Amino acid sequence: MSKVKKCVGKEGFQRVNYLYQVSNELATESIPCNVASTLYSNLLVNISKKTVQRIDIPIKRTICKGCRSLLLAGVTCTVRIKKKRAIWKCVKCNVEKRFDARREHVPWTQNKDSVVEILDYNPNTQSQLTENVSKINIEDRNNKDVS
Amino acid sequence: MDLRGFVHQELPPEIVESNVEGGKFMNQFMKTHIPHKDITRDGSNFRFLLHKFRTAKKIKRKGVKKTFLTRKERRELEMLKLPKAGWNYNSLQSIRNMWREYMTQNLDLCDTTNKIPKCTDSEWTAFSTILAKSELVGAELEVVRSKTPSLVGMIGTLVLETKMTLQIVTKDNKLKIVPKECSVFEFRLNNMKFTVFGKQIMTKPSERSAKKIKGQMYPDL
Repeated sequence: MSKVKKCVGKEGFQRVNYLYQVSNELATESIPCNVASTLYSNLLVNISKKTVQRIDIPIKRTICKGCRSLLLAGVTCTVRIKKKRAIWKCVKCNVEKRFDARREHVPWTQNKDSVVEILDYNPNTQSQLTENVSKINIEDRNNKDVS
Repeated sequence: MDLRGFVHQELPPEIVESNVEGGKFMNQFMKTHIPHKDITRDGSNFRFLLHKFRTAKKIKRKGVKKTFLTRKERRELEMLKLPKAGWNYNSLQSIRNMWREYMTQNLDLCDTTNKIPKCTDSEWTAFSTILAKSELVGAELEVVRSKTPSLVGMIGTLVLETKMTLQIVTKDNKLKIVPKECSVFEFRLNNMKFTVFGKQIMTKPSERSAKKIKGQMYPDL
């Protein structure tokens, strides 16, 4: 089978990816660029809501909950650690984000157990991967959900 | 003038002279002066009639923390509109490069072997829907036709897209707002030239990637 699989919702993912990169690029430049970057990251969140495509945790954590501007540690937000929690406070709107800062705490999507299947859409590597599509720990996950 | 008379009257001398305790005196005083239906005895304390009409103390509710900003607050923080001054055309070069890269990936033009479909091909519709759903921020646009003659021939990078307008930074470092409805745009990618009718993309940019797009276009005058 040499046919290339097509990714569902590829345009949306790529659009979000591109917008995130652009808003990163413009965040630290002059003032009008800064405003533009907040507008892009706002648009990014709106697109992912509209097309029902979730944003991954490390990206989601760098967008402010309040004004939806990009959070760069030390530039557009302050980072403090209190009571084993990292507090990211936006400079513009003073809205806080709190994360667990303990070392053993890993969010579920970063956990290896959460991976059920890996899809590869790259046409160069696809021929190798078609046979060993990994099905890791499906049973384990089901057990956890029940208990 | 002595104000003491106005502010309070001194106690009548009989009370001051008689050595009755304060509590007892009050009991006597109430019995004589207040109609006795209004007084209900509850243990040792008096209760007045109005007591039962008193409302319970308001319990302060712990509300859910409001995180998002309302539109008014965003406007006050100046996050909705782009400022007119302070743009630099040359500093936007990085975006233009990124957009070119993104667009070539998005349209599957990375391999030079891939053919660009023509109007008559079957892949044409898929190609054009991808194009319609893709992002235009960062593109080098040119206004080809417009109802306002002063906008024709304007070249610049697209900075912001709204429902009705496209906002462009020109080479003179100025922000120009071009209405979509009555103008036609053009942009180039490698060796291709695309024309975009502004009237066809009159939606919110966030809704465009989820919207169904018609294959046929009805031109209007």
